[in-house]
Amino acid sequence: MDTDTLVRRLAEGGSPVRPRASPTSRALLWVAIASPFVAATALWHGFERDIAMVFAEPRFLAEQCAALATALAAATAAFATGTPGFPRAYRFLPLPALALWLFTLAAACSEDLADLGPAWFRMGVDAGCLPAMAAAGLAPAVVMLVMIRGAVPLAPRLTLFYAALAPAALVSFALQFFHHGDVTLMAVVWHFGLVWLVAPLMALLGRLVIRWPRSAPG
Amino acid sequence: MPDPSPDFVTLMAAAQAGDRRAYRRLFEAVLPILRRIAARHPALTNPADREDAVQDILLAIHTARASYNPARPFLPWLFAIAHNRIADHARRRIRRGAREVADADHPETFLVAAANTDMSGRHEDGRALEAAIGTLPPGQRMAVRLLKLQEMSLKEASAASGLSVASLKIAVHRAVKSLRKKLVGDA
Repeated sequence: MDTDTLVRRLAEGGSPVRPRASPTSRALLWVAIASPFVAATALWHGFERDIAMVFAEPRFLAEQCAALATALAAATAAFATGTPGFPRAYRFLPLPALALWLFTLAAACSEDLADLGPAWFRMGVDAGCLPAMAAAGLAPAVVMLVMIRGAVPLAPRLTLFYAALAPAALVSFALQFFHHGDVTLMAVVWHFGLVWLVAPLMALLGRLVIRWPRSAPG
Repeated sequence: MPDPSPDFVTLMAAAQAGDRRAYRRLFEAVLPILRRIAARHPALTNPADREDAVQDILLAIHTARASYNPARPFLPWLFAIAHNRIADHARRRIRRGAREVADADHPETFLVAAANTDMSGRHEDGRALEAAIGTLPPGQRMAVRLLKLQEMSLKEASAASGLSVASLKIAVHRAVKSLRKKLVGDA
């Protein structure tokens, strides 16, 4: 088909579309929709910690702020990397919050390692929280998947990585309320390890989930 | 004749609202820009490849038009799509070039004379098909071009033509039927 004909056909098929909201607005909408599900799961599972006491702990507050900031920044970056014309700086938006989160996690690990000694390394199967984690993560992940489907595949792997990181960070945020406070090796492996496995796996599916329609052959 | 200083944002906003005339003007205004971008790519030396890449970008603009926010500048949006599609197109072109060898157009010959196909009418066949497609009603002609010649999927062809998948299926079925009648029937 010659280009003039294609232009005519495309223009004739130009049905009205609603412009998408900004990535930040969409990220806030995602948090607003997903949070009640996460909160409901936390309430259903029950708190294992004295909430009033943990809120007084600077370590807990720092961890929670970093996890929530990571979730929000990752969601914003997922939507921004799927929107043409956004500055490339958005690709790195979640990194400061992510670094802070990992730092607080490492600090908590070393603190608990000093307190617990060799017991810190004791491994086992801590499956008690897994159903709650899965339940807490399901709704944010599904909502994110629905919202990210319209993304433009400019950097599909990065978009999907952040789209998976955002619910994972939100689940980690919720996890702190219904899991005992010790950050042992077992807790790191079973909780954060599983959470961190999801994002790279999703990134591998990037080009399958978000792609351009197959173009006309050359 | 495209507007010498088109207001891309206004045209795109109108196109998003369903104004087809504005949408066409927008395409006409961005075409020279897209051709310039394609011409600058070192892997797209063949004019036909460059035009294919430009058509790819036009389809991508059409598919991604909801992702444009009229509160933001238009050209960065356009360039992001154009560079992405051109890079993809060039990658495909390089891969294909590495896999394929240009056909030297030497027809195979056999010892048994009867096994040799007469190739002299090959180009005439193509012209006859092209002429037969030209006589089809506009809807059927478009369906054949999009689905058979451009090898688009039903979904893509539907997006490009504005017709429903069901209408395209019916149109292409009827078109193939009448082409068969025209070409085989005439023979």
